[in-house]
Amino acid sequence: MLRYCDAAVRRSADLEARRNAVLNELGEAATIDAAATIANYQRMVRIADGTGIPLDAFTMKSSEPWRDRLGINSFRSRGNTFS
Amino acid sequence: MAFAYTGIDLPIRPKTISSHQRSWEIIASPGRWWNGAERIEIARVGRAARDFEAVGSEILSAAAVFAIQKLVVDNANLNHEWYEEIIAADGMSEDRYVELVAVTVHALSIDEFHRALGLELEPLPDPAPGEPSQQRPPEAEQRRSWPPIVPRTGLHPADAMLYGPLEWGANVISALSLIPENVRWLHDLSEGHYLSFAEMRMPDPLRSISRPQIELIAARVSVLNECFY
Repeated sequence: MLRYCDAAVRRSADLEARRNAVLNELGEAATIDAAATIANYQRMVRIADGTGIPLDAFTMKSSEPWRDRLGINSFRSRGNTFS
Repeated sequence: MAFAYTGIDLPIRPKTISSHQRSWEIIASPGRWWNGAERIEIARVGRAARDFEAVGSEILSAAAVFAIQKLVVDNANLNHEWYEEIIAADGMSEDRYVELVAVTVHALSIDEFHRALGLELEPLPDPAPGEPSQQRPPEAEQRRSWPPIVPRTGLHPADAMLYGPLEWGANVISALSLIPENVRWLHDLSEGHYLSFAEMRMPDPLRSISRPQIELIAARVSVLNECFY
């Protein structure tokens, strides 16, 4: 499912193969729900990045222990929270 | 009827289809700062944004086209200085920018759903007549995001349920609230593509994939877009 997600976001040539893998393993409804979630978050990240909203306080605290380890603190849009 | 999905044997949820149809109606209608033809052109430019040679517009300003392209293709590199330059450009303003973002990202989300499933993109709608109302909500305030927002407290009575029944809402919910209709639109398409307010507090099963799977996909999309938020 994550490979399907990667292919959809990157519009890579293996999108059909990745989608078929999810279809074969999990079925049509699950594939549609995965596609819908991908579509939803392609929207949400652009709302966040396009309006410069800071990280919510509770997420800021709860993500502190692992943000740096996952490389998230290096994202350019961190400036919207830490400026 | 738009989004008829005829000849497609896939169990797309009725709520997903109705939210797509409603989005097309919203895009085609006059907003607060852009008319229907302009809003459809915003969606068209967003759809073509990755094809740099083809993007251009006889309706929108160069700044508007550039803003749409950045939102679609280079969202990880947006910053406050860029925003200030865009809203200061001819034909742009904070209000027009917020409406442009809303149209761009909602149209993009529906297109992305189709692309992910290998479906043809829905033809864009014809514009509805009418002129923008040009009304900024008097309760709008500058908070920590770039454009002002309509805060949860002090809402106009007509917008009392704008943020739903929950006491708390994430910043992304109010991010486009300088145009309050955007918040309702956000919720409607969220219910079609993700979860409703009520579902967010309900246990699995909610969809054909589990809530942890849904949130893992959400996180993956965010990482691929390098979205800190």
